[in-house]
Order: sequence, then structure tokens, then C-alpha cells
Amino acid sequence: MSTIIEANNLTKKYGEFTAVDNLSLEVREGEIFGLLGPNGAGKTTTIMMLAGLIDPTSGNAIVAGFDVTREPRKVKAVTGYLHDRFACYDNLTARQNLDFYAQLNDIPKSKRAKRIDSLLEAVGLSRWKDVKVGKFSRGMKQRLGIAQALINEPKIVFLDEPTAGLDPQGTREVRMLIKRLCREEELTVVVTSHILPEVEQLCSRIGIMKDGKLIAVDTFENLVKRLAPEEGIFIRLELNKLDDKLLRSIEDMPGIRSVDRDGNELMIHADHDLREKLAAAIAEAGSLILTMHIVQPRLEEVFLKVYGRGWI
Amino acid sequence: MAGMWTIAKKEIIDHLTSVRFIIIFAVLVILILCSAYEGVQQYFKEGSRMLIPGQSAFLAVFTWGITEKIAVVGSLLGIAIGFAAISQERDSGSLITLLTHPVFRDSVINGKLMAGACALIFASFTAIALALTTVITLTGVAPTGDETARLLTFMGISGLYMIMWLGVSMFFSVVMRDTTSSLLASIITWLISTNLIYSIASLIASIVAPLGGGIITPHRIGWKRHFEVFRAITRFSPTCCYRDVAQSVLGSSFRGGLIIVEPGKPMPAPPSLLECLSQSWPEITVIVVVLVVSFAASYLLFMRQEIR
Ligand SMILES: Nc1ncnc2c1ncn2[C@@H]1O[C@H](COP(=O)(O)OP(=O)(O)OP(=O)(O)O)[C@@H](O)[C@H]1O
Ligand SMILES: [Mg+2]
Repeated sequence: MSTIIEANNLTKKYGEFTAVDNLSLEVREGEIFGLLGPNGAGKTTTIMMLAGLIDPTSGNAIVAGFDVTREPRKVKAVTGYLHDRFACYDNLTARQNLDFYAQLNDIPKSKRAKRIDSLLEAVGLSRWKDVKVGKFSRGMKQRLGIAQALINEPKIVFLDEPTAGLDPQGTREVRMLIKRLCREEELTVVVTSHILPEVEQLCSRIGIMKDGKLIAVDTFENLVKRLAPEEGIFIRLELNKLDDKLLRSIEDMPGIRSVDRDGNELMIHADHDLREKLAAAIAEAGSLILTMHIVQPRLEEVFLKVYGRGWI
Repeated sequence: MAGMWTIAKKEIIDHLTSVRFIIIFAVLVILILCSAYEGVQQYFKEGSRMLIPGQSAFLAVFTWGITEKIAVVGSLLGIAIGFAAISQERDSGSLITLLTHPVFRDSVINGKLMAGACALIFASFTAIALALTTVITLTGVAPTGDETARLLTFMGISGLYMIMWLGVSMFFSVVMRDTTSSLLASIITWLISTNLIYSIASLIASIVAPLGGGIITPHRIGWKRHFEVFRAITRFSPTCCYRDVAQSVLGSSFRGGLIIVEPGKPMPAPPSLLECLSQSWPEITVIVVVLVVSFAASYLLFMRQEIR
């Protein structure tokens, strides 16, 4: 897979304040790339620079072969963008709005109607195409926003918090829509979010941002793996009977960090996988293991610890 | 100019179908038609007595209120179109959406100015044409060639004046943080131009060059000086400038607003349209300069503005 977005030392300063700090990044063709980070991390600023909407203070980026500062219009011509407060014209219908954006993209009249119809179909707004957007619900507007971003058959779409403000149903629909469109339209997608499960479900690779810096870029699995050693692992254990002596011997075992007891169930936090030793100790004490398995650390918890401050 | 025509087309449709525009335009038309009717009544009642010597009775009907209605309500129409031009799109977020598509920023602001100007030219021409139709119907008199030329010039000046207000209010819509502040700034400017400067000019003129209580005779130096001071100050008001130009074009005012007839000499001949225009040059310049400066300023600011 070839690189379609390449950012080198992108920096954006607002006065003294650095919103994005020396960010370098590569996104490959056809992937769904997630930018994850707390409020104010600089996600929006980053993708606005990548989409040619704001000029970086320093650094540069090549998007689909064009330099974002020198040829922002060409970048815009081959990308789509869904703004985090997406809005279009409330006094126009869904179809009129899309027609306006299609004209701005120089889509010939003969193709416009077909393109608009198929997009409205794809985002599930066919029934509402002649309704004024002012009457739309938040979720419908968001879906129109996605259609608007795809109007020029882009190579790349930037989606800034595409599910913010949607209910669970709407959130699920939009996520499915993004996945499907990405597959069908052969898109590269860059999506920002501060919700972990969202990027986990959606993205092939994730970049974690904090205070304007990109602190890690990898697949979800690798991120988890990389974080695991220092986090240790969790083992859940259910026994037929559990006395204080056995509990104490487990607690005293080397490598055990903590043990939480709930009836005959234990949640053990250990440095590494101690299942064999545990099984031996339990057999020696004359108890039977009903269940024993490793609990994947919840990424939220891990990230929370590693990257500080609660932001999930 | 990628996108300019697309934006202009959309904006024109927006204007012509917007409630704001339709209401103010309707008010303007009604007021102008009323003024035309009153003017015609006056024309029948007083005949040539209402006239300044040498002025056409037909054109005098138009100076009877119509000019004033455009000076006040026409400017409001310009503001109504301009005050939200950029700020509303910025407030709602549609400006960012617009700029994510491959348009030049100049196309956005040029398209909006052009659409607004078209709507205003349409409005001023329609309103004045309706007034003209009314006057012709009621009096049964058709304008002569010179009168027609003067009326067309009057239409042009009125359109220009309204577009100037579009420029001013668009400037505020670029500069101000939100639409409410933009509207407020436009309205304050409008009050200053339509009322405040006029009042201040009267006040200062009567302090600097009091008219006294005697019978006013054109010979009196004080009268002339009073007028000069008054005019110098009202130059700062585009509305006063517009009034002056419009009245001069319609032939109802000689330079300085008074005719000085030297004893024993004949009445001076009324100035031709071209003479009127060249006499009004400073006032026309004021209107054009305000338009150009406010538009250039909004243009430069908008090109540089961070969009978020
Ligand atoms: N025009 C501006 N002037 C000054 N500071 C700004 C401006 N725009 C953004 N910032 C600051 O830059 C930082 C990064 O903002 P950005 O919107 O990129 O964050 P984000 O990661 O998208 O956050 P969120 O999750 O809230 O959308 C924030 O601290 C914000 O206050
Ligand atoms: Mg953001």
C-alpha cells in the first residue's frame, strides 16, 4: 500500500499557544486512520491543516500528491471533509444543498443528479431529499454531511468526530456507513474521535494525540500489546471453595500485584501470566477451578493510566 | 473565479426569496407609491408654484418624498442584505463547509457582493419604475427626453447608494464576531448617517453662522456661510450626500441649495444634467469611496481571517 498522506513536522501556533506541535504522520492508501485524543489535543487543527483549510505555522504536508499550503484547492478537489460542527444551508433542501456543493466541484450537470441520488440513497436520506435541511434531526444532518464530503468522489475523506452528538442507534448507523463506504468507494478515511471503542471498531491504525503532539501511532492490537507489559495482566478465577489460607498463599505468590475477592471469585492483577502456578497452588489446597481466564485489559483503563487525565 | 457564479446564483435566489428582503422591499415600494401619489396631488394643487424656477414639474413630483424614502428605507434594504452575509455562515458553520470545497475565498465574498448588488439594483429600479408608472398614469404626462435621462440617472444613483450600504454592512459582517453585533454596528452607522450628522451639522452651522431672526434674503452673507458650514459637515454623511445628488439630478436644487439672484439680472438658467452631475461630484465621490473602501477592507480581512 502506498502512502497517500504524508505530514512532516506540522506545527500550528495560535499566538504563543501551540495547538499542533511538530506532527509527522503517514497514512496509507485505503486505510481508515483514527486520530484519538482528549478535547483540545489538536485533532481538528491537524486534519484542517491536512485538508488545506488552515495554513500550518511551519512544516508541510503532501496529500494525494499535492502540497497543502501551495495547492490547497487541488487538495480540496480530491478530498472530502466533514466538519465537527457540520452545517449547510437550512433554507435549502438536502438535494439543493448537494447540488450547490456539486457545482462548486465543477461536476457537470449531466452527472450531478445521478451522483446526488446515489449518495442520498447511500446515506439513507432518499425519502428526505426534498425536505429543507432546517427540519432535519442531528443524525440526518450528520449523514447529509457525509454525503456532502463524498460529492466529488474523493480519494480521501476527513471526518471530524462523525458520531458526536448522535444517539447509540445513530452512532452505530454512521459507523457502519463509514465502513461500507470505505469499502465500496475505495476511500482512505481519516477520522478523529475521543471515543475509544469508536476508533477501535473503525480504524485499521490509530494515532494518539495529546497536547498537540502525536505520541503513538499503531494498530489497535499493537498499541494494546505495547502497553501491556507495564500494565500487567488480569486473571479472573472462579473456585468451588475458597478459604483464607489459600487466599493468603495466592496473595503471597511472587509476581502478584493485587487480588480482589468477591465470594468464590477472584480478580488477580499480576505482572505476567501466572495461570500454571495458580492452578498448582489451588490443587494443593484441595480446591477446584471452575473457570480461569485472562481478562484483556480494557484499553480505556490502560490509556487512562498511560496518558493521564480521564478523557474517555 | 472558481465558484463565484455558483455562489452568486445561490445568493440571489436566497435574497429574492428571503422574508427579510421581501418585507423591506414591500415597505419601500408602498412608501414610494404613497409618496408618488402625494407628489401628484401636490402637482395638481399647486401647479408650478411648488417649483423652483426652471425645474420640471414632472420631476418635482419625485423629489416629493421618494428620495427621502430611498435615503432611509433603501439603505435599510442594503443593510438587510449585507449584515449577515459572512457572519451568519460563520456562526452556523456552513462557511467552513463551503470552504472545504474547491472555491477561492475571493469568490465567496465577490459572489456575495455581486448577488447583493443585483438584488438591490433590481429593488431600486423596480421601486422607482413603479413610482414612475404611477405618476405617468395619474398625471397623464409623459417625461421628456431630458426628464427620462434624469430619472435613469436617479435610478443609478439610488442603486449605487443602496449598494454602498451593502458594502458597509458586509464589512461589519466580516469584522464582527457574530451576526447580532454586525447588525448593531450597521444600524448605528445607519443612524449616524441618516440622522446624527444632519443634526450636528444644523447645530454647528447655526452656532458658527447664525441665521438671525430677520427676513431671509438671499443677499445675506450669513445665510450663505450657514449653508457652506452645513454642507461641509453633511459631506460626512453618505445619506446627506445621496439626498444632495438626487435632488440636484432631479433639478430641484441649485448649487448650495439657494439661488442667488443679483438684483437687476435675469434668473440664471437651470443647469443641465451633466452640469448637475459635475456639481455633485464631491458627493458622488463620497458614496463611491465609502463603497470601495468598505469592500476592499472586508475583502482583505476576509482573505486573512482564520475560519474557525
Ligand atoms: N483560533 C484559535 N485561536 C486560539 N486557539 C485555538 C484556536 N483554534 C483552536 N485553538 C486551540 O487549539 C487547541 C487544539 O484545538 P483542536 O480543536 O484542534 O482540538 P481537538 O483535539 O479537535 O479537540 P476537541 O476534541 O475538543 O474537538 C485547543 O486548545 C484550542 O483551544
Ligand atoms: Mg475537534
